[in-house]
Amino acid sequence: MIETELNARFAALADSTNDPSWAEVAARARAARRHRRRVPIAIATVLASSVVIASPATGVGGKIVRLFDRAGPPPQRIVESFGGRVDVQANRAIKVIDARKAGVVPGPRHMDWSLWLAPTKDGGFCMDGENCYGPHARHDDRLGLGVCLCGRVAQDGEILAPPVVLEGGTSNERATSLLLRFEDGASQPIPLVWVGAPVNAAFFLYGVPKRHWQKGHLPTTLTMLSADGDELDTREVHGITTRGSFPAPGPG
Amino acid sequence: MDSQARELEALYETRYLSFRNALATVTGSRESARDAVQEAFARALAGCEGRRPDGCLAAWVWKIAYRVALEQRRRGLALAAHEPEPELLEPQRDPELAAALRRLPPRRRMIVFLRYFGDFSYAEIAAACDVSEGTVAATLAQAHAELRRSLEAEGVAR
Repeated sequence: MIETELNARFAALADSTNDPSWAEVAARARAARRHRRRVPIAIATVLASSVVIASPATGVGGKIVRLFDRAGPPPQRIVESFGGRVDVQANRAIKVIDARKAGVVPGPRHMDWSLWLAPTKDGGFCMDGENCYGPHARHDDRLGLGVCLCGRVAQDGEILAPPVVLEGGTSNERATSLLLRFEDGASQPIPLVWVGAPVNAAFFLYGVPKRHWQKGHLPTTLTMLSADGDELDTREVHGITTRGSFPAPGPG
Repeated sequence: MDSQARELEALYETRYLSFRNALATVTGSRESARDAVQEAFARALAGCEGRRPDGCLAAWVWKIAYRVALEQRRRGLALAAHEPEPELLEPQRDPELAAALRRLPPRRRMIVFLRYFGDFSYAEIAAACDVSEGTVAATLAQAHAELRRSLEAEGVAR
């Protein structure tokens, strides 16, 4: 019987290294829940704050604004990335061909981490690999923040390879920039990229340098600033793991 | 812990190894397959992915893991626009079987890997691949026939 023979041959080839860790799964799930809660950026209404702009990237009040309908089409792999997804909750039709890049974090050997947005036919938008938002989602002046350990992470939590990405957004119209502070007293300004209708929200993407993956040098807070320096919101930065963050895998 | 979380943990305990080994044929390494399986169970546990109430749990988690693996490829290679062709990790350990598998179309090969590395039932494969159980049975029957022919031919040639 071929099935018996295949069973035996595949069993001989199977890698028996047993390295499961449900504790790690649970820790990742907790991080994912935080990540999912991060971007209630929302949009007030599609037309409420739309701006008429004549070029794909135009300065408006010191902000960079991009329109979905004024730039070139996305690469095929991004079209496929969105095309393979279904927004189950709203059953929204995603206008994949209109997807636009809102930011990119360079990685090693061209392993770039980018944020793509695609509008939906009902006036909302979807984020690449993320949730979709409807046209009448709640307006939120707070700063949405997520942490992605997008490279390799050891079983104990030590980050082995970049990128480590902070990403998120806001629909607070006063926001113009961000300031990231670290445990060692250093700080780093991060630009916001404003995206026009139907999104009308600002996004950021920042690759945390390797020197700030270690205890004592980790990011602590991210503050959203207005053009005149007012602190509009501050979020604590959690989720960048270090050696020992995850329990060791059990014997089973 | 809710009932779905308990089911997920039980699935993880019994099927982690087979998921990882089947997925390694897609990712190309045990380490990246492990990462994808961990991430898939985490996403499922966090409730990030919608699941049909009557859906097959193993197939649902597999689909998430497969998508994570594709995302890894896309992020990692930035070029992987096409579906990956699953391969044995160490073909030199059974070159005849590796050669016979390579002659199968990629989708048929994936179903073979799900069956023999992943320990998936016909019903689970059907749910994971969005086809009927009859299609799975027919596909595996074709794959078995092709593999038998190839392996017999290799045996004669040796």
